[in-house]
Amino acid sequence: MYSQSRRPPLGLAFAIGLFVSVLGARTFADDAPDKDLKLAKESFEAAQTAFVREEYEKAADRFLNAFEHKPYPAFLFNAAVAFEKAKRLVQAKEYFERYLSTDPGATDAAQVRARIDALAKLLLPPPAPPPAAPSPEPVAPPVAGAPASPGAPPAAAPPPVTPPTPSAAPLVLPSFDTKGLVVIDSKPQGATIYLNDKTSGPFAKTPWHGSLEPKPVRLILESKGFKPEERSVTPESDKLVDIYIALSEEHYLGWIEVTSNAVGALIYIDTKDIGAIGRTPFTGHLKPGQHTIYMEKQGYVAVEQTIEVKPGTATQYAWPMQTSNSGWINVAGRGATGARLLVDRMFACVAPCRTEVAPGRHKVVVEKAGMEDYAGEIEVARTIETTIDVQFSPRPPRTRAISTAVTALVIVGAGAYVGHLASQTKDGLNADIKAGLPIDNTDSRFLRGKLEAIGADVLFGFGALIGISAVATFLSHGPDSTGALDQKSLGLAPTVSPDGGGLAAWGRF
Amino acid sequence: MRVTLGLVYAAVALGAGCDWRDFDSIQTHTPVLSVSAPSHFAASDDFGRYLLPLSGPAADSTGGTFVVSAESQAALALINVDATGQVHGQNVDAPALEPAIGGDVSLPVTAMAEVPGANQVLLGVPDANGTGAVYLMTLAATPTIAAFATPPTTAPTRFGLGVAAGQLAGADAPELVVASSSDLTIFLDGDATKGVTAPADPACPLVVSGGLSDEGKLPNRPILLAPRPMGLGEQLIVGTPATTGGNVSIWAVDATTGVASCAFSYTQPDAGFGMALALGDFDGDGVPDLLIGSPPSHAFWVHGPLSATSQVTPVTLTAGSGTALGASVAAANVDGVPGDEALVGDPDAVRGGANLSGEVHVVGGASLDTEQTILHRQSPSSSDAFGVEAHALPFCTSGCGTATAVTQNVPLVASTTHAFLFFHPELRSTDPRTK
Repeated sequence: MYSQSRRPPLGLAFAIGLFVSVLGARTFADDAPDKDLKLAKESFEAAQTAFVREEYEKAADRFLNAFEHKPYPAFLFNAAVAFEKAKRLVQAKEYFERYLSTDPGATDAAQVRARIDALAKLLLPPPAPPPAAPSPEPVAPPVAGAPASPGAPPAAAPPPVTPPTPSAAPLVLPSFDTKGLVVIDSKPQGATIYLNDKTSGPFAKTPWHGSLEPKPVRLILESKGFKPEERSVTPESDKLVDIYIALSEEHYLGWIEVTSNAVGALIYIDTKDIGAIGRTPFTGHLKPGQHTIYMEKQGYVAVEQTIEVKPGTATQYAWPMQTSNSGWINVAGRGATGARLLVDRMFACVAPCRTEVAPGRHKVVVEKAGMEDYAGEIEVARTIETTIDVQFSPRPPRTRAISTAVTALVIVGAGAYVGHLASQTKDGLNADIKAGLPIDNTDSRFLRGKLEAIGADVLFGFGALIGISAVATFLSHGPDSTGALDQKSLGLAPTVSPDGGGLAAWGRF
Repeated sequence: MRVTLGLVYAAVALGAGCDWRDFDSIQTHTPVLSVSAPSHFAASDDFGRYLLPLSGPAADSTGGTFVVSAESQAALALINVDATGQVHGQNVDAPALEPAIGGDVSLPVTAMAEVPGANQVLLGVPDANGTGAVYLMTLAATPTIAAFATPPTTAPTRFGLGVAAGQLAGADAPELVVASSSDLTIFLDGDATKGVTAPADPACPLVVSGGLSDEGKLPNRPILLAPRPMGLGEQLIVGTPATTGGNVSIWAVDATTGVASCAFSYTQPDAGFGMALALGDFDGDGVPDLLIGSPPSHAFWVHGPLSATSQVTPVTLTAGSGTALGASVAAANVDGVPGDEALVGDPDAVRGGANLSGEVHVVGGASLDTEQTILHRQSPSSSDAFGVEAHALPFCTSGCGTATAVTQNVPLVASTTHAFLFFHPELRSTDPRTK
C-alpha cells in the first residue's frame, strides 16, 4: 500500500538526505520498499528537525503529515507534544486524546490521561472578574481540525493563526519529550520478534511498530520455514528506525514448536551448560537429528524429551509439566558466593544456588573456606522455597594452632631425646652391673638418669598438654555463621493465554 | 588432625615407657651399697671410719646391723640394712659420752666389741680424759650409753684401745676385755668391779711400742676371742704392733679367777704385725684360722687350731700401691665356694689416679694364695681411705630374728666418709638380698 502526502516536503534536498539516512536502517535484503513508510520517515525527520529548532508548530505539522502516510500512534503523540510546546493546548489535548484512542493499550496511557486532565484544567475559562474590572477580550475558540479517525487525514492542517490558549496561567506541566519510533517488518510477515535473546520469550510479531528504550538491542526474527535473522539496532527518541528483513527460506533445518501448560518454562536443548535458550511457548529451528529437550520451571517436575528433527519439517510438541511435590532450598546472602550447600550431608550445589529437596526436615550445612559453617535444620514443605541468607563469620586463623602444634612437637621431640638419654643411662648402668663393676647406689648416673627420665616425662606431658591445646585451638570456633530463613510459597493456578491453557505460578513473598 | 593426635599418642606412649622409677629399682639392688651418715648425724662428712658388725638381726625384716663411729668426734650411729638392702640409719644420742670425754667431742670411739647375748656394745675411747674410758651401749629402740669402768689406778695409757667380750670364765655373764696400750684387763661377768689385769709376760708382749702408743697414732688394737682346742673354752688373741716387730699373743683365761696367762705368741718383723686380726675358715676344714694384718705390705694367716708351733704363712698379695696393705683384715665367703676368702685392706692405695683412695684385696684358695679380686669404690676419691677397716657382716637370708637364722657374710668396708656393703663382690657371688 502506497500513500502520498498531500503536502510536499519543505525542502527536497533535506528530505532526500533524511530519506537516505533513514533508509540506511533498512536491510539490503529488502525487496519490497514501503513508499508510505519512506514518506512518513521523511516527515518524521523533518518534524524532529523543526522540533529541535523549536519550530513547534511546524514540527506538529510534520508529525501529522507523517501520520498521514503511516498511522503510527507515536506520530500523534509527538504532534501533541509539539502543540503543547507551541502553547496550543487545545490541539495538544486533542491529539493526546487521539493518541489514546488510536493506541488504547499504550504503556504510557496513564501518564497521557493525566496530561489530558491537566491540559483540560488549563483550558477552563478563568473565574469571573470583579465588577470594576473591564472584561477581557474574548478569545477565539480553538479550531477542532483533528481527523476523526487515524485513517482519515485531518481536514486541514492546523491553522497557524489560531490564537493561543485562553489561559493566561503559565504552563507548569512537566516536560514531555517526543517519542522515537521503531518499525519492524519482515517478509513474510508474522515472524516472531525476540529482543536480545529468546529466554525472555517472544516480544511481538511482525509487522510491529512502537517505541523502544533508547539503548542498543538485538532483534531476533524467526519464522517457521525461514532462516532466523538478527539485527542490532539502537533506538533513539528523535529517530524513526525502520527494520525490514526479508527472511530466506530454510529447507535444511527443522522447525519445532514447544508448548506446555507451564508458560514460561525454560527450554534447554541438548545441554544445560550453555544455559536456557528460550521459554515456552518456544519456537525455533534445530539441526536435523536427535535432540534432547529439557524443560524446567520452578514448581514443576522437570521434563526431558528426546525428539527426532527431520530436515525442512515443522513439528509441534505439547508437553505437560507435572506440578512438583518438592520444596526448594535457596542459598543467598552477601558473601555466600562459592559456598557449598550440603543437605543431609550430601553436596547439593555451590551458592548462589537453589536445590530441590523432598518435603520434610533436612539438615542443612553451608560451608565456605575460611568461614564458620552455617548449620541448621529446615522444615521444607511442598512448593515452599526456603531461602537461607547466610551471614558468614570468619573462622579463627589456624596459624596459632599450627605454631602451638609445632611447639608441642618440638617439646615432644626434646622429651624423646631426653628419654633416649635416660634409656642410655639405664642401659649403661645395667651393662656395668652385668660386667661385675662395683656400681654402688651413689653412682651419679642414678640421679642423672632419674632427672632425665623425669625431664622426659615432664616434656612428654607438657608436650601432650600443648598438643591438646593445639588440637583444641584447631577445633575452636569463632562466632557462629548465621542464616536468616525466608520462605515463600509457590502456588499454582489455572491460566489461559493466547498460546493455550495451563497453570500459572503465584508466590507469597 | 589425625597426624597430630597420632603424634600426641605416640609421645604419651613413649613417655609412659620412660619411668624414672626404673632407676630406683636398679639403685636398690646395686652390687655395692654405699651407706652414708643418717640425717642429723653429728659428723656427716666423717662417717664410717670405725665399724662393728653385730652378730645378728633382732627382727625378721633386718638383714644386718652394724655400728658406725666417726673418726674425729664422738658420734655413733646404728645402721640397719633390711632384707631388701634398704638402709635405715639411727643416730645414737650419747649424752653419757660427752662428760666422760671432758666435753671434747673430738675424741671418738675407736674400739667396739659386741657383748654376746647381752644386746650391748662395749665402746673404747682410748684418748678420753688423757687415760681413756670404756662405755657400754645398750641396744634398744633408743640406744643408751653408760660409763662402764674407769682406768685402773696404775693409770695405763690409752685405756680402751682394744675391747672384746665373751665367755672367758664360767657360764655367767660374759667377760669384758679392755686393753690399753700396755696391758690387758678382764672384767669378770662384765662387772666393772671385778677387773683383773693380765700379768706381764715377755712371751706375750702387750706394750705397743714406739710412736704407735701415742695418742691418735694407733686408733685401736685388735682383740679376738677364739675357741680353744679340745673344748677348753675361749682364748684371747691380742695384737700388739711394735716398732721392733709386731706380736700376736694368745692368752688363756682362768675360768675362776679371770687371770689371763700367756699361752704362746706369733711374731714377725713388721712393726704393723698384729695391727688387724680376723678369724675365718680359709681352708674349709671347719676350724677357724687366724688372719693377721701386717702393714705396710703384708698379711699372714695361721692355720687353726692355733698352737705354738703353727706356721705363720703370708697371704699371697700383689704389691699394693699404698703403704698400709694389711691395715685391716676380714674373712668372708665372697665367691660362694666353701672356704672363706681373706680381705686385706690397703687404705692408702692409689686407685683410679686418686691418692689414698684405698682398696681391699680379696684372696682365696686353701692357702690364701689366689688373689681373686680387688674391692674398691666405683669412683675412687682422694684420701677416702677405702679399706681402713674391713669386716664381714652377717646378713640374714632366712629365719631372721630367730635362733635358726641363716646368714651370709657380706664384706663390710669402711672409708672415712662411708661404709660399703658388697652384696655382689664378684660375678660368682650370691646376692643375699631379697628382691
